Amino acid sequence: MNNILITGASGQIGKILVKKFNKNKIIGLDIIQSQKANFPFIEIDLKNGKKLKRWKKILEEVNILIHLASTVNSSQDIIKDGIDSIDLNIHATLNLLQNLPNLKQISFASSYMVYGTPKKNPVLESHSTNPENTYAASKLLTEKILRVYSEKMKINFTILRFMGIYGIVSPYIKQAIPSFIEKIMKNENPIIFGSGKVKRNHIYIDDAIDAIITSIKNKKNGEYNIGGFDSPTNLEIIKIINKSLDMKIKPNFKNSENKEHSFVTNISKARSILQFNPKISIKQGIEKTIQKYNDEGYGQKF
Amino acid sequence: MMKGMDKNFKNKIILVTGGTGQVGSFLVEKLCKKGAKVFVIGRDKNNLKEIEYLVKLKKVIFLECDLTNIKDFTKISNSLKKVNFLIYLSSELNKMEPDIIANASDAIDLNVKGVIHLLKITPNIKGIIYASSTSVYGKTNKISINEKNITNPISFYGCSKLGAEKYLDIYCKYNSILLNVLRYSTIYGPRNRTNQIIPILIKKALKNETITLSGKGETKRDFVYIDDVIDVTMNSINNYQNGIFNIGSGKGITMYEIAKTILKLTNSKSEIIFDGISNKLNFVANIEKAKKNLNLRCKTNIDKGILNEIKWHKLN
Repeated sequence: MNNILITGASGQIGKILVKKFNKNKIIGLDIIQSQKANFPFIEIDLKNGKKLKRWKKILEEVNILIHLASTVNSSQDIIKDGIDSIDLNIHATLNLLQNLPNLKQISFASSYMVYGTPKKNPVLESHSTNPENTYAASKLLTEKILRVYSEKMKINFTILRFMGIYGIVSPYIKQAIPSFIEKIMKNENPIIFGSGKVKRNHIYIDDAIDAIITSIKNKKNGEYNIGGFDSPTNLEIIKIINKSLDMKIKPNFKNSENKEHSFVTNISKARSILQFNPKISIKQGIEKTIQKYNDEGYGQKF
Repeated sequence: MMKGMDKNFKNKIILVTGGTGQVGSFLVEKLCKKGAKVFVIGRDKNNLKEIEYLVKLKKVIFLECDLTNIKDFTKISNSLKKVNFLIYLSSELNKMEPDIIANASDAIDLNVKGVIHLLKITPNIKGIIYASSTSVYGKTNKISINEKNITNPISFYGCSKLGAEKYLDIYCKYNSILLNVLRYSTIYGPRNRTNQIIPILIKKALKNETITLSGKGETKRDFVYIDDVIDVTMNSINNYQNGIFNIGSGKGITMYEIAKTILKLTNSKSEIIFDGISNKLNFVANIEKAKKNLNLRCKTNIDKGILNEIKWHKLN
C-alpha cells in the first residue's frame, strides 16, 4: 500500500529520497513532476487546497508524511515577500493536513536558519529562535503549527533542522561548496564572500537522506539539528577541493553583504535519540561531489 | 508621571488596531487625554462601545476595516499615510470550531497576515507596540517564566502570536523601526468581554450555577488587572525601547482561590465541584524585566480587581 507521502518530490532532496523507497510504498507530490515516476505522483500547487480533493482516495491511504515542499526565497523584505512565505509554506501545509485524515506520523524538513545569529557555537536545539528572513520565519511558524496539530491529533512528529546540504549537482544550486568546485574545475578563482574564516557544519546529501529515513523509522518526537560532524571554513573547503583536483587556485575575496558569523549546530541530540549517524567527512563529501561533477560531464553541460 | 510626557504624545499620530476591545478602549481614552492624534481600526462602525463618544467628538478617527480583507485595506490606506506610531492590539482569540485546520488558518490570517497587510499601508511608522500573549510559551514545568523561556505554544492562537512577533522583528530590524512586544498574561477587570475563566465564573456565580474546576482547582495562573496593563502600556509608549516584555502580575493564583473569591464577592450560592482531571497548565509570568524597564507596577489586588469586574458585568 502506498502510504508514505513525500512532498517536494521533484526538489533536489526529494528526487533522491524517492529512490530510497519501494515504489509500492510512496506517493510523490510537487508543483511539477520533473521526471517519470513509477509510483503515484500528485502534481499540484498546494496553495490551491480545493484541487487536493480530487486526490481524496489516494490521500486517505497516507499514514506518513515527509514534508519537504517549501519556498526557498530567503528575502528579508516582509512587505514584498512576507505574505507569500505564509501562503506558500504555512497555508499550503494546512491545506495538505486537511486532506490527510489518517495521518499517524510527520517528518518535517526545517532549517538551521530558524535560530538566527548564533549566540554561541555549537548551537543546541534549545537555542533561542530569532529568524532573520521570511524563509526562516515561515519554517519556524510551520514547526509550531505542526507541533500543535500533532499534539491535538496524537501524531508522531519529528522536526529536522537541516544545516546547508551539499553533494547535489544542479544548475539551480548556488551554495558555497558547488560554486567553489565549479570555479576551480574551470581553472577560475572561486569567490569568497567575507574572510572565508567562518565555520559551517555542512551536511552531505546522503547523510541528510539518512536522517529523513531514520526519523521515519524511529518515531522520536521533537526537533533535531541535522548537520555534518566536520565544521570547515570556506578557506579549508577550497584547500580540500584544490587537493582533490590536484590544483592550486587561490580564491578572490569580496565583501559580504551581511555580517559574517560561524554557524555550527550541535548534533548530539539527533545522534543519541534519533540515532542519526552521519558518515561522510567533509573531505569524502567533497571528493564524492567532484566525482558527480565528472560523471555528469561537467564542462560541456554547464 | 514624568514631566514632559505629554509632549511625547502630541507629536504622535497613533493607529490603534483593536481599539474597541478591553485594552484598546481604555488606552484610546488615555491617549486622547494626552493629546495624541488617534486612529482606530475596527470591524464594525456600529459597534464602537466605550469609544463611541470619542469618535462623535472627533477626537478619534474610526476606520472600518476587517484585517483579513485586502479590499478593506485599499479603502483606508490614504488616511493612514501620516500615522507614525502603531499599537497593534487586535487578535483572533482561540476559536473552538470542530474543524481544527480552519482554526489554525483563521489565526494565521488575522494575527500574522493581518499585521503584514497593515504594515504595507503604514509606510511612515517609526515605532510599534505589539500586544502579544504569554500563550506563546506553552506548557512548562518552571515556576516562573521569563522572556528567554523556550516558546512552544499549545494553541494555534499562541502560534500565530509568536509568528507575528517574528515577522515584525524582521521587518523592524530591516527598516530600523523600534519594536516593543508586550506579552500580556490573562487580563481581567471591567470591559472584559472575553470567554476566559474570570468572566465565565462571574456569570455563573451571578446565576448561582454550579462551577466545575479541572483537577482539584489547583492550576495556578497569572491574572493582571486592566488598569495595571494600561499604565505599563502607556509607559512603554513614553519610554520607548526595543524588546520583549512579560506583562503580568508575577503571582500565581489557583483556580480554586479565584472561584472562592468570586463566590464571596457575589454572595453566590454556587457550588464548586472538581472534575479530578488535572490539566497541568500552570503559568506564572516573571515580570522583573518590565518592572525594571517599563516601570510595571501591579497596584490592584485581586479582590478589588475582581469586584470591579463583577460590578461591570452586573451593569452590562
